[in-house]
Amino acid sequence: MNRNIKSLLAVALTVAICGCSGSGSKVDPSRLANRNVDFDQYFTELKADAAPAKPDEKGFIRRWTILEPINKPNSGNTVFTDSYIERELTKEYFPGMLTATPEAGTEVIIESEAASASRGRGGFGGFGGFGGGAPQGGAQAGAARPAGAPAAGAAPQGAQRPQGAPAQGAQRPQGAPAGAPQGAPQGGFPGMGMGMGMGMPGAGAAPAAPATIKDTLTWHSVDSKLFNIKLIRFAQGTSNGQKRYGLIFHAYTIINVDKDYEDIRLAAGSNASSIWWVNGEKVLTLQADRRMVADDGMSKRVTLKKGRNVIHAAVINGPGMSDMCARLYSEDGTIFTNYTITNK
Amino acid sequence: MKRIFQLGIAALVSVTMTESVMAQIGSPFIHDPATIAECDGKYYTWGTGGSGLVSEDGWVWTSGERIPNVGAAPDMLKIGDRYLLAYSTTGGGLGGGHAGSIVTCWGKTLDPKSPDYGFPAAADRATVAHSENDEDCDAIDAGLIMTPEGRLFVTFGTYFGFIRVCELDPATGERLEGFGEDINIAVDCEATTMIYHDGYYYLLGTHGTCCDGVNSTYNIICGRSTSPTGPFIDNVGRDMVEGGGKMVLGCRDGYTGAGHFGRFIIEDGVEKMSFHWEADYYQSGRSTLAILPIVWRNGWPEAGYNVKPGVYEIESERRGYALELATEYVRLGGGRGMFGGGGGANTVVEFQKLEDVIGGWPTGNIGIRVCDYQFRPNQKWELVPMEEGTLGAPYYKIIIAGTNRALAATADRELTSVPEFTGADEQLWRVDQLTDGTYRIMPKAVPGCKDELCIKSMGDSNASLAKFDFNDVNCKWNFRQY
Repeated sequence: MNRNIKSLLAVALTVAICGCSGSGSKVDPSRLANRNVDFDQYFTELKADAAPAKPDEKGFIRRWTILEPINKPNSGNTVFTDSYIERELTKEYFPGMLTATPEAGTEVIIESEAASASRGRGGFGGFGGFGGGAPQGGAQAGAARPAGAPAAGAAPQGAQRPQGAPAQGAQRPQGAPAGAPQGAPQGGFPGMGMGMGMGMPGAGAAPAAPATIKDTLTWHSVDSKLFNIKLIRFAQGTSNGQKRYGLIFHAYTIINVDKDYEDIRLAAGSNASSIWWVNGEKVLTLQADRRMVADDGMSKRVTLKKGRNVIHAAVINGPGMSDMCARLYSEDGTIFTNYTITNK
Repeated sequence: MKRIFQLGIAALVSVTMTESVMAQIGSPFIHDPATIAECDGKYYTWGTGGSGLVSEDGWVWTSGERIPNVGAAPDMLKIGDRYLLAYSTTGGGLGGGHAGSIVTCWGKTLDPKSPDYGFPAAADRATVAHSENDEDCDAIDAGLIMTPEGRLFVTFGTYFGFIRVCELDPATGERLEGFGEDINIAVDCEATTMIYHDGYYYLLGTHGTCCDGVNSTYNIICGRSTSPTGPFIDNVGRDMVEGGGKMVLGCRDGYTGAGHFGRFIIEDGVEKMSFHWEADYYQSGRSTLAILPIVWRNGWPEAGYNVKPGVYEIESERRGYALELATEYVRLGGGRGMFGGGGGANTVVEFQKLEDVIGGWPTGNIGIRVCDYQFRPNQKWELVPMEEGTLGAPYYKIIIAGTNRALAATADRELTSVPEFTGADEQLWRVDQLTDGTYRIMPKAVPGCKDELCIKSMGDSNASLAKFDFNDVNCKWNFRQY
């Protein structure tokens, strides 16, 4: 091995270890672009009785049990007014939904709006578009499920209908593939072009009542590999790429403490709007079209009771990125981490 | 009825005049403006789709030459004697795919009338970064920076995932050979660019809702790092990859949705930020180019203020005294005298009014001095913006309130006031807010003098014209309203 080869190897090793990009600066490898959007790049799926976890080093709660997303096909995010958020995110699709903690793998059949690719296209309102050429088509196939994972929406072995799930009329839609809602795939909103905040339904004509479907959805427990929960990737990964935009997410996590803790605040961020509950009490609303920002909103003071405490989140988004993050703060402004996180 | 009508006219004039210092005039309609570039004495910018604006003075903007085959949100940076253009081709944005590319190319001049004008055909331009159709990035909104060490970087990305940075070769404008993967430096924002200030790299981006007219909540935010590759941290310690960002500018009355920051350094202590308002209420809610001063406060950039039309004390930063006409001091009667003694009900002491004293003033030119502020008529200056200006600010006439007596520069590089404003160059004043929040005041021209001069304190009680030095407190003034 000559000296030049040794030098090259040394450089290669340095790049591999410190994630140096061509800039010559040390870069955290986790910050290098990763173009792989498979489900397992974002999540580790858990069994219902996973061992307790701790918040991460910055206090973010990475373990959540998330219901496969509910269709709410908004083609823009301008509809997210206060009243709209209150109405849509407090809606219980089955009794006790906002306090329930169904085990991972539990199925629930709910009625939701049929996905549509054509409703409410909105417009730019004045500056005539960006002129960047025609969109290059809608979304491609979404994040793939990890090998060996159950098919999207299919009932995992041993899955049971959760207590309180609607019994009457709870069935798969006729002819629908397992886990996939009726209607067009939600891979995107073709023809929308660029721009944020578009898509306000046109004024004037009363909107037709949306078609509804019965949708079989499954609760999944996951540990996020990121500080935040990339809901869009969860949606794609649990629907074979059929679900992406225009969705409502419900998720819960269980915080276990060894004694009562008063004056704790829940700090959260979401893309887009969200409502958050602690032990059934609504404690935080992040209204309007917004991007996920850590500590974007902070709840009033809450008491974590000795034992098991349930945080429930509901997030809605139209097109674009959807994600959320949450952590807890003590009264003195420090991040509260004296708890374990479980999914049952 | 007549009074109501008069009040209505007054309100309209007030609104119009206020508007005239908040946004550029002419036809400054644009979205996603590139950082303003100067070429052969003119200013240029381009927006999405290659739409262009040009200005002779930096204040009055009109439609300019479109750059062909430019997609979304271009940026421009002068390197040596060439201009590097960066822009993006994109796959559809929010509701569509997210495949995009950042493209660069060079031009010799920005002046379409020059024989050297032109950019390479699309096929001959360099693709320096890209995003695939569904990854956590949408490679649009290029922002260029040349570091003090001469390294060239481009940031890009939008609300769909990460903002990324990669390094370019400043000689070619192409991606630096051997540069590895792009680096994630922020998340879920738009229109990023990087600037350098006092040992830090600042990543500027835009949060909020774009493209929703008067309901847009676009706002410019920033974080900072000691490295151009991050991590960029905001003022509360939040990483921009966690969504952090300190606000630089959001909305101001009548103008909503500030976005797409660009920085233009005029000289040490004089910096401007270009951006667009999503909606200018005074121009049909259209998206317009805006330019405001940059103020650095506690190590963070903020949008400053052009002086609004109105009546002000002009206060020296040096001592805190006020610029005034050198007229006979007229004592006020009344008041309680010493120590606030005596009994009885309180009464309001009448302010000294212009008509109380103007009869005693000379009718010709009156000299200028600096003195204790006592809100006397010879200390109250009205600033009225003109329909011409400099980069990001109009010229003002500065007159004693209630008169047409105007502040003027003299051929011997001193200050005076002339009894009637005529519009002569020596009576037009450029007022730039400086990066420390104070202002410099410069005549458009000094008769017989080619130098650019500003009003400078001479001792505590006098003022003259001299060259500007940002590090000299004597060159700085404040505009006060009470």
